[in-house]
Amino acid sequence: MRIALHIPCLVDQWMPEIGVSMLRVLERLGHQVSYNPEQTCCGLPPMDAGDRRSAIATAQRQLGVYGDADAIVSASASCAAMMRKEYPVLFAGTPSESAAMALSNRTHEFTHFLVGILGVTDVGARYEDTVIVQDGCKSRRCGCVAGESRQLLARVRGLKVVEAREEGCCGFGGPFSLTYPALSGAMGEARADILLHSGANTFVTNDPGCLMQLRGIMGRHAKPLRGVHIAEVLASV
Amino acid sequence: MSRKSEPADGREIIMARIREASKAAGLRAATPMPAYDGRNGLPEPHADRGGRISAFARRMEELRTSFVLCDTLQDAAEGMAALCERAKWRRLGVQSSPFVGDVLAGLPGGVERVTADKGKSALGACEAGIVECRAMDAQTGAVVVGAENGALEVSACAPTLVVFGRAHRLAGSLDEAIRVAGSPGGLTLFTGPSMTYGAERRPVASGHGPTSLVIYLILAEK
Amino acid sequence: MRNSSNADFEKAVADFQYDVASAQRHRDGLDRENWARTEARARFRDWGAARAAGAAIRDADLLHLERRLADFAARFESAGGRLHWAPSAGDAREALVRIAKEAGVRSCVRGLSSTLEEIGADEALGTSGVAVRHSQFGDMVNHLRGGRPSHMLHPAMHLSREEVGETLHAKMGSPTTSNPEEQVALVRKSLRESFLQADMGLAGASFLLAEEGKVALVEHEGNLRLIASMPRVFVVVAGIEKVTESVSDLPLLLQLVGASAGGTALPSGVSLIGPDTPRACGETAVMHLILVDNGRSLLLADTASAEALRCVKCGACADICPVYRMAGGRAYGSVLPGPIGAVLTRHLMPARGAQALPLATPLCGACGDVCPVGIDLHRALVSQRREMPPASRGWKVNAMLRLHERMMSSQARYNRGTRIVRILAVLADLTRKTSFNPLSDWMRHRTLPETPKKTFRGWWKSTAGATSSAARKDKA
Repeated sequence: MRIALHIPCLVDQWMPEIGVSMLRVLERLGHQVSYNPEQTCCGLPPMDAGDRRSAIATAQRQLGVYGDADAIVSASASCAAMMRKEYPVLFAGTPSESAAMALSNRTHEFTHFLVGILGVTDVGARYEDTVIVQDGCKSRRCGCVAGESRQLLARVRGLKVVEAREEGCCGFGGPFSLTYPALSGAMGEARADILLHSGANTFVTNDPGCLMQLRGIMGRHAKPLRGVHIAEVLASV
Repeated sequence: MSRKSEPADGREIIMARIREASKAAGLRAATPMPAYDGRNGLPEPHADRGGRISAFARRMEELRTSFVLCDTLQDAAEGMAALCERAKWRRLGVQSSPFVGDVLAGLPGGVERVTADKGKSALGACEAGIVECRAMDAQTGAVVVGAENGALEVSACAPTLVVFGRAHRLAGSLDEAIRVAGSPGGLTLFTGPSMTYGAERRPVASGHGPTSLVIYLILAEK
Repeated sequence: MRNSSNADFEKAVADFQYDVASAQRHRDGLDRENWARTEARARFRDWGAARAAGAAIRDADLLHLERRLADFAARFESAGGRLHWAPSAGDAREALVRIAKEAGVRSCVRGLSSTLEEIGADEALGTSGVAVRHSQFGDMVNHLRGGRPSHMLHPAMHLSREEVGETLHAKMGSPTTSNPEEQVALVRKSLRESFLQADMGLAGASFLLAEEGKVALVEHEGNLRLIASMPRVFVVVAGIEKVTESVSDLPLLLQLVGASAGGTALPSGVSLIGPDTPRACGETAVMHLILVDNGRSLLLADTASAEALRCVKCGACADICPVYRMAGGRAYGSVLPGPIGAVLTRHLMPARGAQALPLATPLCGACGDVCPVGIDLHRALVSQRREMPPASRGWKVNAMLRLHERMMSSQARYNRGTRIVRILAVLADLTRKTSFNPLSDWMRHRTLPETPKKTFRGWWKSTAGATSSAARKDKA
């Protein structure tokens, strides 16, 4: 299977280790992985903000970037949801409709790709820590409906996974955090509080947006939790 | 410009707008109906009467509804008389149907029966209301009461509502219960007594409708 | 400077959180209901399939709306009902006032209904000299206080039991008590005469049954049944989207509503009332129905948001929403707070309620996940954002969007942009506490991420410059 990486702008610029980790995991599993630096952005920020024209203009560029890869694997649940669920609607009735459908059908969020497409839960990882899962809310909109993160983490040697008393949103929401910074911050605080009381040292997420938001919020706490992307845990041996 | 509102006017405006909207974009293809067994979300209804009665009894307990199983109408009438005595009721709102007449046959003397035609104030002064039900649902515990012969007003006003039904009208699902009830001029489904979300959104076990609900289920078909 | 209604909303949230006890009560109320809902959904054979069936039923209703309404009208009118078609809220008010005048109505008792609020029923009747009493507990208390509702089904949930007790004492003259059971008993006693004596009963409808020409009234308290059966004039005000095909659709819809509204198997009272429902109390009774459009047909034309009209008003979306949890219902400034309110208010009641509502969400999608009729609220909210004037996003977001589009339009611009962003990040950190920094709000709550030495692109380029894994292995 020829795999092309989708590296969200946030990962490329601020958290490249996530991309490196994804690559390591996929190669360890014996796959050919490519990356085309022509990719820029999936168009989610303008889409969420309600600027449809700008979203289409940005997303348009994505359509030709992945060549004939069999699968496009994304480091972000939010971006994967955009490409899988929104592209068909965004491009419906336009000349790019079939290209958009083709792209959307081949796009997978990272954990869903491993568990749902490759059928793999044990990637040979080792990571000594006590962690808690904080998956992006958009996971449900990109096919992650079977607890893929937890299935993968359960097979990581040396890892203990604890659960929060309830699920919840980190409050990032992209443009939302700029339009309502205090509300977004307050929601992040509320979520951080639950994670801090879970008994974990580290929170693990499949979404770079959540990672950035919660790391930022934790940074203001005396005894913060570390935050990592699930790819980093799975890459560790 | 003074506008004399004719129904046809407003109707045509609204219908034209809907036609426009349906053309413009709207819902092109509606969501397909999933393969779904009947119009019932709850697990398999009981087919046999015994199973239904047990299920209904369980629901009555969960709904804080008194439930009395009687072999015959005679037993039910005796039970009703005893209940009336215990509760010291003097004035009952009653549906004016032969069946209700029969179950009230054994009432102690001096108990006034107020039918709906006596007026709202008279009904409003009653301590309890007596009606028959057209069907019941064993799954949800819903009791289906019609509107005829004053049943609507009597059941609406009653602080305690006493309902009499026959076991062969106990359905296995709400869908079936509504079909068994037939199409009278009106229906009310009572599922437990009324309740109110009071201060701080706390459930309180009473409301404007019946604070207590009593169901008599008669096994005999006649 | 942020758009003022965004700032208003944030201030309302801060104010709500400031009253710590109230905010805790709010969370407790939500948690209790949500827990009951989880239990109720688990009792279904297959909740997913049940809600898909509910979605299909309501979708078909909207797809065949014209036909359904025509069928309903024919049945309702041939049974002796008086139907009034109101293209606008003003038309609905006019019809209501006319009905009251023609029947010589001086007193009215009404139920809880966002449609009645939407059309301004109270004001219209009040101006005509009709005394109106609210009968649903929370609605009545809120109305006595003159405050905005905090939930579509529980309008007074923001009040403590002490506040409720004070209100009942001050406005109804009842003995002061903060015991919820006693308070309900007091209201029951007070309303009893109103039900029996009022000239007119006024209610919204949960469903309009096209085939039977009847109205379905869904309740817990039993007040709607009294409103429908006691007064000599019964008026129902219903949005056109309320129509559903027939009573055979009701069992599933009622089970979905029961589970999603109160976590029960069924709501405790459901009445099917038509113009020819037997009335035995002596007076000749007449039933009117005012059918309201007021923007619903426009919403029908918007593919992404039309499914919001499936709504069965269960309130589950508001109760699961993390923003609603933090903000409380009154911050929304609408009689329909929460996610469904954010979509509907702009169309039905644009003059009331914060226009910014569709922006006030991180789009977590929890609302759509719990909706018993499968409304994709995420998509509807994003679609509403498209409709809003760009200025409503605030200048910062708009500036970011312009820069973002430019930067993402080519690799060269992207790389240049990356370098600029890194410089700005350093500056932002240095000026975090000053007002020069447009991100100072945002940064008050967060530390900035550290700047990595290389971007992913840079790393990829330097480990081979090629896309081959083998080549990379050689270099490593």
